[in-house]
Amino acid sequence: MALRTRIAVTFLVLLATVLAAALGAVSATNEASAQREGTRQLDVGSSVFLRLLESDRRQLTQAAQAVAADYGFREAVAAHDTDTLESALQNSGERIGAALVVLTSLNGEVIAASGTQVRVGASFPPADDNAGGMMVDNGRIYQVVSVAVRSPLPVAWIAMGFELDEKAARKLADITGLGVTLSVHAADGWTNIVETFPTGTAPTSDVVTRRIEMSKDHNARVVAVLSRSLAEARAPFERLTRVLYVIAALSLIGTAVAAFWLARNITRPLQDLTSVVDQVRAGSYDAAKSVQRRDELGKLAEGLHLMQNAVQSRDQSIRRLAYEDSLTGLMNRTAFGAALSEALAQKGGTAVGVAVINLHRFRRINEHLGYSVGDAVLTKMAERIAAVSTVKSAVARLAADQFAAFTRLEVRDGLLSWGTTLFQALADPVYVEAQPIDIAATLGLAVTEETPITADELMRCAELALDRARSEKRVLAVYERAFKRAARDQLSLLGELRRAVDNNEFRLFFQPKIEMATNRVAGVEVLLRWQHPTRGLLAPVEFIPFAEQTGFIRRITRWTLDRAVAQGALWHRAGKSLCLAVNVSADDIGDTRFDSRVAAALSRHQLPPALLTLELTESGFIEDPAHALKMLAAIAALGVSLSIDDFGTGYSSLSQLTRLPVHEVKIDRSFILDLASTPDFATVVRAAIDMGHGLGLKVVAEGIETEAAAARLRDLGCDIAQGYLYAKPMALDALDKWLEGRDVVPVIAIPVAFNVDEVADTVRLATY
Amino acid sequence: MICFSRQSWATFGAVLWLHAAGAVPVTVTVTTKSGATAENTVLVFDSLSAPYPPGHDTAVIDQINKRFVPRINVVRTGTVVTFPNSDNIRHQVYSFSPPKVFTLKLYAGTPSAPVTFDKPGLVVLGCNIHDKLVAFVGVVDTPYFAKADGLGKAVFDLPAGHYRLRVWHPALAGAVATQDVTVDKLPLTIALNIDIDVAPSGVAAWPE
Repeated sequence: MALRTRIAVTFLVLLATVLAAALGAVSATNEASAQREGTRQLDVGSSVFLRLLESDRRQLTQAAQAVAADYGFREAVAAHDTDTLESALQNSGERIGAALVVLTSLNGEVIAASGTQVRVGASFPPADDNAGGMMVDNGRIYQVVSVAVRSPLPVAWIAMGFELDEKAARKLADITGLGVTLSVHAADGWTNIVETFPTGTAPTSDVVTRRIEMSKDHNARVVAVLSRSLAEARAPFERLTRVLYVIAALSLIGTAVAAFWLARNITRPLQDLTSVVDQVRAGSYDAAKSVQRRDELGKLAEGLHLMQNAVQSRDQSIRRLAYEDSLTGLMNRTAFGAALSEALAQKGGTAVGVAVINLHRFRRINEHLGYSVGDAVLTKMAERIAAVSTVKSAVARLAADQFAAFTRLEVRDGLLSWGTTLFQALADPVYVEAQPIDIAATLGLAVTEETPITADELMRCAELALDRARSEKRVLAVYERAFKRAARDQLSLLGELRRAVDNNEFRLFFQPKIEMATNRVAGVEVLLRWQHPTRGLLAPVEFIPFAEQTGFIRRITRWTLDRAVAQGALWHRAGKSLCLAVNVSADDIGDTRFDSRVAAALSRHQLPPALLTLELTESGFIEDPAHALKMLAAIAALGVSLSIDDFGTGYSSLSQLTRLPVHEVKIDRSFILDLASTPDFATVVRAAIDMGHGLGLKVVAEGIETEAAAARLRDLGCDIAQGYLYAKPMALDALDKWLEGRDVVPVIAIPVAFNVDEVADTVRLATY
Repeated sequence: MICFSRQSWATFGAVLWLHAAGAVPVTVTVTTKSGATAENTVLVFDSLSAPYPPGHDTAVIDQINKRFVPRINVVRTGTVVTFPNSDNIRHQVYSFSPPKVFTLKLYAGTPSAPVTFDKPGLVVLGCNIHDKLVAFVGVVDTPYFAKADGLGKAVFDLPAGHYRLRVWHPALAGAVATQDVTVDKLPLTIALNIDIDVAPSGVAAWPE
């Protein structure tokens, strides 16, 4: 039940109860009063009735006495003059309107009679006081009085009586105001002789009655039943009750109206407040203060209003926390996803381009320059991205060093130029406290195609492009469908790699290195092939970059190193000591136990360290130069040689190079392949060779395919050559055949002379 | 007082006469069952031997203080009674009794004519204007009658012979049966016990 109805009903029920109780009490009182009044009137009427009877009786007595005292009458009695007596009786009877006048002897024998059917000689006993003067004769009731005739002693009786007929009864009824019923008891019970009511009243059963025994005589039992109509007694009270009912009805109606008005006055503001609460719940906070009152509801409304504001501000801060990056004020990933979804959902919209931007090597800024600088850099980068006009506010910071932006593109081909704009905006060094900080950004770009795409998918596309850019060391990459396939392939690749290690699907291939000055075999580079069960023999480029990305490279390196060392040991024990070069990735160098792993492999297979060379690219010590330096020093301390692979493509500084304990550099094949055709490359190669020699390092050239390139390198003073011109990578059997009849540069092979555990401890101590 | 002396005298004369003829004293004592006074009880001896002729006695019934005095009287047939009025108001004496019906018109002092009671029986006297004025006159045919005194006693001197004794009192409850009495030489005492109604509803019947 609604509050309004409940209030109103409560009021009404309460009032109705009170009214009912009051009316009930009044009615009960009225009824009692009516009864009392009726009874009182009956008392008075009865008294009057008896008085009237008594008065009649006195009248009769006086009349009879008057006759009895008359001397002439007495004389007539003495003389038994019947005719005279009868006329005298008639005369006196007419005087008062008596219905009967009878003269009897003392024995009750009728001497003379008038106005009655009583005959002379009949018996007419004198009126008995016991009978109250009542006489019943032939179904008629008489009030009779007997008076003695004295002369001077009683000699006769004069009986004089009125008949209590309808007329007399009506007179009594009119005077007393009571209904008068006269009943006579006969052998067959009571018989109503007369029944009258006051003039103008109707007979009714709703009465109070009083029974008056007028005669107790057995022969003439006469009873008067006086009745008083209660309806009459009730009438004034009923009028009062009617008025009360009208008042009650009016007050009920009035109260109903008032209660509904009051309830509405309470519930309408409550409804308004409820709708405000509903709005707040729905997330709308602009509801105005709906109730302007001074009472409790007004206070409630005021409180709700304050609460609404508080909820709004809290909601905003929660939204900020949920959707905004606290450092830069940009959207976070969630908000960006939502905004992008919204943009994608716009019908008839143009293409949407998304860029995921990664700040290269940002972690190092935090580590070396402190987090405050890192934060400042991030803030400035955020400002730069946001400042790009095509991006406007659609910028987010996804992770520590990762941003994202999207834009609407008129044409899909505009994606690349947009990406370039972004890249250029980020290219300049960032100045923090007047110190320039060089930050390189990598961008992954993706654009919507004809087919619908979700924000998540589009983001993933951009992220895949970013991965591609990073793995290919480019500043930006545009998503292509192949990426996704590649990514999918890579996922399965990871599982296959694991299986490959367990199933021994990897094969060692060997490519000889030739000492250019003597044409002797300087050693072999150990290369990895994957004998894939379905895809055949796979080259490293097809799985090594992926293994590096996923960290799986460590297991592969461990496996390769172990096998290569084992093979080298075999050769060594066979008296054919051949230098082995094993490729190591930057991730391996990051492994703090890598030196002990190398030592363990050497120790396990008893291969003299001098027969092992580890080749690593410059990226191996660019990420964390300090650690790399320690690790390389530890490895060098084992007696293992180190070689810088792909020399010339990285950004390693010369100062770093001088500090590294390396023994040789391998000039990147890209310089060698076009050496003859590109004069600039020759300059670069010469500089590299000169620099290597200047630092006391051996210089190796790989990828030599032509005699011309070989001749040129020989001219430039390159120490060792490697390439198809000399030998392709080959399996062990083929190598063995190839080696037959060839000279090998002798190596002074000192057996392993260190304790592996000690090495491990030393290096670890040095590392940490 | 005058009335009293005359009656005493008459009685006295009769006694003298009886004695002369050799009378015998007869004493009647009347007691009542209730112990009430039996005064004024009328005692009458009728001779069964020889009836007596009417006499010529006189008697007086006065009216004093709206009362007949005496109230109870016994007279011999033929007695002339005068009704003086000693009150200072008028009275109208009447009788509707069959032995003597008469009316004395309203009068004061002594009425013009006395009334002769010439027939035996009981005559009830009344006053037409005063209902309470009632007197009884027993008219008898014998000289031997008396009213019992305050002690209920009456003394007669009766000649020897046979008599019938009648007893009457207005308040008698039930008639007293007549008694036949034989008077011889010896004095006789008759004891009567009667029943007096203290509040009589009527007047006892006159014994005939």
